[in-house]
Amino acid sequence: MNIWLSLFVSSILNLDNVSAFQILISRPSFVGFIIGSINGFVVEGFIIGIMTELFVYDFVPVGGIPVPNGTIASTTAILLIPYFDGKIFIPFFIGLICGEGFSYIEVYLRTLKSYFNKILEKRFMNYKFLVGDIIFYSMLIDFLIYLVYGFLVYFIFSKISSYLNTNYLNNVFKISTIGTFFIIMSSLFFKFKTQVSKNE
Amino acid sequence: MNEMSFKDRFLVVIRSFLLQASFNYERFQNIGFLFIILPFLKRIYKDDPAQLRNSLLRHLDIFNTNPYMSCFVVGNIIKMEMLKEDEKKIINIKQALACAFASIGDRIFWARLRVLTSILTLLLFLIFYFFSSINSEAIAVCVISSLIFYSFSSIYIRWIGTDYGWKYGGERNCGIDTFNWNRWIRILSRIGFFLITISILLIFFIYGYLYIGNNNKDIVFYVSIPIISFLLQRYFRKNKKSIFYPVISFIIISFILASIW
Repeated sequence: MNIWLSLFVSSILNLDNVSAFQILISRPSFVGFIIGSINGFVVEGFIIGIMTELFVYDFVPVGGIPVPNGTIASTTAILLIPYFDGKIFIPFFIGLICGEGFSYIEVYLRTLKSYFNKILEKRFMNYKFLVGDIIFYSMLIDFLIYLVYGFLVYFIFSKISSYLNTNYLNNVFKISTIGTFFIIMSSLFFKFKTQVSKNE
Repeated sequence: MNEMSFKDRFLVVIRSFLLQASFNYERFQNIGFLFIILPFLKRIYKDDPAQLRNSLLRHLDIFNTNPYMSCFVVGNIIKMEMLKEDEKKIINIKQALACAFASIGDRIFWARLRVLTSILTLLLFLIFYFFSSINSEAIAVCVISSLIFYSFSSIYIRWIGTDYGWKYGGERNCGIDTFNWNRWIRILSRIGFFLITISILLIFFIYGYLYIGNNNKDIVFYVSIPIISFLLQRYFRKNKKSIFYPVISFIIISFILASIW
């Protein structure tokens, strides 16, 4: 029940990424907090969320280039926490893989949505001036594809989690998580340093 | 339609939230743009369906800008359509403004304000961790306060954009000099740099306290992690590689480190 509720909430929040609002309710730290609250991992959810967020924000979505989806990354990671005895290290990296995977689906979706242009051209030529339904169907497609993708990746990784949840791998990914955090912070520091020196 | 009322501005801002709903690689935000201006075009050309059709087909063409800055373009175009300006002039101004505002918006929102919001969230979290304790309420404060800060900025710029776009309507500089954008970009960069520096100092302090302070045995191991991370990040950034490269390299190194320790 929590899985579907989490994915449903996450799918709605994900619309904020591209389709609607862009007021950052799809940001991984917020999603992590919400999904974490639903599943009883508030602190873990937030930590996964903020790390994913800082990682994903290293990419700038200029000109419509697809970037790793932080919403699905944090959601999947949080849903997988119980399969790794409450540890966040391996789920965090699985989340990043899922987030990157979803960016390829987004490319496909955006290509598919080009078809709506032809529908609208035909409509306008026939003096039918309606656009709202296309907007609605676009968002519905985004919502459903995200929901299905979210469930699939959750299902696959929850099935193979028993092979991944070993002491050795948990140690490896604990070190990797700390290292990744320092990589992210270092990247952000130099990004702002470059911005400041360029502006001078 | 001679004036843009409060209700009209509200309508533009609300509809602008859906600018990218039908984002496609053929013409980018064109359907969203059409969705925003449709009620106004219907009003302007209410007695002339042929003109309305031509206008809609014209605006179905490629359109791509920063979503937060789109209202500047929308305001200008609605005014120009209302004044029944030359078709070619409308299209030219629309495309020129889209490019200019995309550049400004990307630098302000994507490259600075959005990242700054995350750093602010992280910093609040670290402050709570350092001075108090971490619980659901503390996390809610971290997340929601930064969310309000960003949402307010983004909605404000959409509102102001509609206002100024309508006011200038394709004349003079089309409202592009509403703000001293370069000054804002400079200020945001400096705030970002200041916050990230404070965050890093706090992180090192907490990391040292947690992992190094009481752990003389593994001190080399824990000190080596940030050093290796830093070197990897610099190496791959120098070679213009994405952040995935240093992270994957570090995972490989972690296999070795986990075997040794």
